[in-house]
Amino acid sequence: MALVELKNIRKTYHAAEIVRGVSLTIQPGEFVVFVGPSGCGKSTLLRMIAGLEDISSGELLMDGRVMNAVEPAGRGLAMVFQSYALYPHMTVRRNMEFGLRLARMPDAERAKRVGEVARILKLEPYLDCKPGALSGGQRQRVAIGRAIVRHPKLFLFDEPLSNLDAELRGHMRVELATLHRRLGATTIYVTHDQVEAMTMADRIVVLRDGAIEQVGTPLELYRRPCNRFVAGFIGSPAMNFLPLTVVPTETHEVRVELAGGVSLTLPIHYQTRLVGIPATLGIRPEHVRIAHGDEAAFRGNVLAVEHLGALTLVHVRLPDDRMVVIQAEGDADLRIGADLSFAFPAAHCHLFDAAGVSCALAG
Amino acid sequence: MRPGSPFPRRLALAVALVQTLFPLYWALVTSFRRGPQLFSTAPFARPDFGNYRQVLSDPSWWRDAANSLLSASAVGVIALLLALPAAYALGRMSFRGRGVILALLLGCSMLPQIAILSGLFTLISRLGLYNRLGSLIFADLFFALPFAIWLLAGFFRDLPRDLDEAAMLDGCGVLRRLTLIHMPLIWPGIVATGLLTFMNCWNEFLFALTFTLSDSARTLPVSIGLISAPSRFELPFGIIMSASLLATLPPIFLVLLFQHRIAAGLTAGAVK
Repeated sequence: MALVELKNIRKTYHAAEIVRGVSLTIQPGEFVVFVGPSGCGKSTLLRMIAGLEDISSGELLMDGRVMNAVEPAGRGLAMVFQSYALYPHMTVRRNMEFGLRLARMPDAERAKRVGEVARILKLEPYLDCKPGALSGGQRQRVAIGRAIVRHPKLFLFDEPLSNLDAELRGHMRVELATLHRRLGATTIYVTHDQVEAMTMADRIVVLRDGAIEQVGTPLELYRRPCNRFVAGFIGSPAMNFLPLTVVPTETHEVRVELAGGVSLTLPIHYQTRLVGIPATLGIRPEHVRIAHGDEAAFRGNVLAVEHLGALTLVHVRLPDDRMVVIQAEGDADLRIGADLSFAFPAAHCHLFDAAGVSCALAG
Repeated sequence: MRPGSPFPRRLALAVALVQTLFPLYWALVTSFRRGPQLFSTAPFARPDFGNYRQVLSDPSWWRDAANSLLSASAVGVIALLLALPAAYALGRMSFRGRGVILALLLGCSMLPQIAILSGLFTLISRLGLYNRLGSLIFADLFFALPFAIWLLAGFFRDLPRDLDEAAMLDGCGVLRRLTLIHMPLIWPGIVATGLLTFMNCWNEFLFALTFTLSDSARTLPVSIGLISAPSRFELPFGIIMSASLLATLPPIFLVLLFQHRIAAGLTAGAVK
């Protein structure tokens, strides 16, 4: 278990700044997920922690020791690559014990460790196979096994599940989470898949353009995204966004007006700076309520219905041509082309100012 | 041949086959003939191994073969030893001037032999290698090395980069990455490069003719070229052909020996 500290880490490639001053402290035993769209610098950041890329400026500390100039093998970490990067000419056993051999570990202990890891990962029948004879999921487990046998203080995962099919991915997600609880090692996991981030992380770090947008537990990020980017990135299906204007009021709460003359009062502290600027309302599909009568402030035309079994996603077109996705019950009886009325419960509405920063933090 | 193959394809195949094999076949037929029979144009001959017996009973043929074997093996081994680290650097590391070096290497291996012959000759006499096997090894390396580096660099370049990084995390330095990870993976490429280099030197004629004088350092292609009859009005085709055919056997044998090593697909399973 390692305490990892990143202090204003930067990476520049040919005058382009890929990572722009990232500072973060990762507690011992924590499972942290770096998530963001491709090109956000998350993999570069991970590779800098691994020692595979030089750190242009800033400091990387592990357990209080500066690691910037330490060789990858000397950092006490293990990494699982997206491509698995198994040694194809070695058997599964050799693959797993390769690092231990190089470290001149005695035979008996090495065999014990490999046996133990093979048992945990159910790889015992394949120990003498070459990676080429294994399926994708098995190779992935070998790659994880190769990392575990070294008893690293820090685990790094670089999109390890993206080459697997959906079913296996779901399965491995649970396995990895279980494994982490069992081993307790500090883990940094990079992914572009917010579902992986939400399901596995103790804390999620959302990155964009080489900088941290927000750090928090999955539920914090879900409930209180600090800006429009995080709000749109976390949660599936993605949050709906609608333009609005804030109208002046005498109360403490914000009153907003949306296209079509609909107005809402949001439990957000009123700020005069918001009045008149182009702001955005955000609401998650699962929070939109299909309603009737007075309660239903919005009306739209059902454009598409996706039945997912347990729930139904309804794509609705508003009179001003904007789209809203609504998550309804699985047995909801909805027909394409029909009119639908619905409401936005004020407690679940997010308000973002012109710069995309959330105004909800006060409420 | 599959039933239903279109006729033009069969015809093309037949033409290609005849074009490739006929000279060899003619050499074989000629090698069975002696005396006036040599001028026969009949496409068949009764197998008569008299020429072969004569070639093989000549001790100088065996010495020349040994010379060829020695110089070609030496060039193959030295070229591989020097080319491996160079190709590793050119194929897997990025540094300033890499492209220029690769282009220069390619340029070198494209030069016609004759263009560097006089320069090499001066160099070799200064080094005191003239009329020694060393001169051939030295001269052949001039072409073998760029060729081997160029080929091997391609093999190194195609290896997945993640493997390097995984090995770095496992604690491998450059040398151990090369010997424990990369070389086993490009082994077929190394074998193929070594074989090609060997064959090029085995067949090399111009340098061997220029840089050797006496029997002691003569190689097979030159010795075959110098085979003559007692009378100046006669060229012993039969003996020349049997010696030539015998000279093709060692490379063929080597290829057969290493054939299973060249089988590709060794990197399957590294990634994805």
